Amino acid sequence: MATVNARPAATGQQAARSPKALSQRARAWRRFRRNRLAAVSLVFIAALALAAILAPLIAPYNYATTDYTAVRLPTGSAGHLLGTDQIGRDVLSRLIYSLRTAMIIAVGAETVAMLLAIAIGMTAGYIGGRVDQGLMALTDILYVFPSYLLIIILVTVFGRNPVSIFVAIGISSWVGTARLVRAEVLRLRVREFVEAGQAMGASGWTICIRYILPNAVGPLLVSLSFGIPGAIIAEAGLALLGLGVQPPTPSWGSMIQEGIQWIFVAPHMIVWPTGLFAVTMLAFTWVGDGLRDAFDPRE
Amino acid sequence: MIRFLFWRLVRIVLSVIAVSLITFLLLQAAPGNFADIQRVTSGATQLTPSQAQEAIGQFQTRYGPQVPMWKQYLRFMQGAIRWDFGPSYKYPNLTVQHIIAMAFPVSASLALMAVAIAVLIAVPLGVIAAVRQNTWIDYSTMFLVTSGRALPSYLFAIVLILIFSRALHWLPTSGWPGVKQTIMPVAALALPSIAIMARYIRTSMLETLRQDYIVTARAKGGGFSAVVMRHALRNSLIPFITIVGPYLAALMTGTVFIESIFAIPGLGLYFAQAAAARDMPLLMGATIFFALILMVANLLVDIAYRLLDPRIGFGPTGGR
Repeated sequence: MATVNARPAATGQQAARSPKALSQRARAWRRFRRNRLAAVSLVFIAALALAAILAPLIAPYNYATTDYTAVRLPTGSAGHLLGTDQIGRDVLSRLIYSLRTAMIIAVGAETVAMLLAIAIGMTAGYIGGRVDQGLMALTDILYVFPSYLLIIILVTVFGRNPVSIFVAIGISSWVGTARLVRAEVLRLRVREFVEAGQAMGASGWTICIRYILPNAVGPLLVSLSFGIPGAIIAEAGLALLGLGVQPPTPSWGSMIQEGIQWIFVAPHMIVWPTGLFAVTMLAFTWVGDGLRDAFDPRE
Repeated sequence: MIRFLFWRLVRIVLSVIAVSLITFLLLQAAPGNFADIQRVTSGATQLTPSQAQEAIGQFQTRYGPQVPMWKQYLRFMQGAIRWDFGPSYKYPNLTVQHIIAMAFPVSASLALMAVAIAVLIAVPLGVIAAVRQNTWIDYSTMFLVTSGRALPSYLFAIVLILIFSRALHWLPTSGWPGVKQTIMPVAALALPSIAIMARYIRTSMLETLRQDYIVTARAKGGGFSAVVMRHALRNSLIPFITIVGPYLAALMTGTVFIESIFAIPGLGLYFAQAAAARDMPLLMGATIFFALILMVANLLVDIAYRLLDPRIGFGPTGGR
């Protein structure tokens, strides 16, 4: 379906030149792959995602299994590759399971944020007029609502389970993307292929979902690649304040929050989650930059 | 100018009402009501029994279960207009405005120091990267900058603690206030800020350097550094203040994680603890205050921008 939808844009731009001309997206993908740092980062992220899904198979222990005979073992101990924490839980296993938390939070929060952003941005941009003014006023208000305050309030209200945490993060992070979607709609709405669709009697819904949205994929992907690490950073921040996912479920934030209390006695407890967290954030940034350069080669 | 200010102030007032209403309604959805005895008494250990009774009585008449919701909101807002948010639940012997007056300067000074240091480092960094565009200097600076921007300040804080407290024993991790105690929090806040600002300066500089008047100045025999410093940098700094202002405001409200790590009693930390204790007046008061700070900062920046760059007027189209 996606290829069918992409066709109007391609026809307008370069398909006329040669029958074998690549679509805009294929060219972007080619440019992206040529950026070695971005490509390696993407592979790394895919490996982390795989590890998250397969966590029960890979992790040597359960994330909640305590062993009071082996507390705060250092990295490299027998049976505990990365050591154990203050109540004898295996750090490596907790690290692997914390990938799951990060993934649930990131996927959930971005799903919520993207759905809100697309729905509100498209409605505002396509209908325009008073609806546009009203929705933009709403985004203005949320813009001055300090986002972490809103997250904290929402988590207080709805509890500390993963779903309410990602909903809270999603609700407080869609505004920028919604403005982006609106701008894309305003840009694309006046193009010939949209007019052609309208002339053929396509409904507003069809125009938005099947004509405009596929052509706004580039900016949305870029925004996604910055939104995912943003959501993970937000969850870890909540955990630092004692408002993250309920223990014993591990997350990078909760491991850091526990580790910081033992930073002088057992630094391995904080070094590993901090390191993996940092490397993952960097990987997402490099992917994001690669995507931006690929979709917008002018910069 | 007057019209511009008037409409911006109207917008600020409307936004404050909206923000307070959203917060209030959300908090109403939380389990328990506004004047939950349990919550009020959570701070009552700091009071004598008779004082505690009195405090509970006060909350009951102000936000008690028999008072309808809209009345509670109006009561709160009536006080808020006079900058009186009433006593906090968690610290019943302190009023919310008192806590703000006590804790906000802590957050604000952290943010101010961090932004000042960040500007001092980021401006030369961005200028060098722009002037040496597409050389290894530019590439390595931008690589560091992109990487620094990706990491939250609290990760920098942890790395700093590992180096300067654990390994070198130079700096303490707690015990605010004090000079030694200030170094790591400010550095942790400044590092990601440097990244964000240097990138912006570079982009802005590159754009300015391409302008005709720079080319003219060079063609007329102006020395390279003179042209860069006197002509290009000055004009690049105008758009720069539009990001520093709101950024400073955001940082003042966003020091919470750093405050939590280094046990610094700033307003962000009070807010987070208020959330955990469901301290409604403090949550409402702090949210309104933070939103006000952000909006006033934006307004000041918009005014400064228009004064510095007369091409942008105060007309109706300039309002955004």
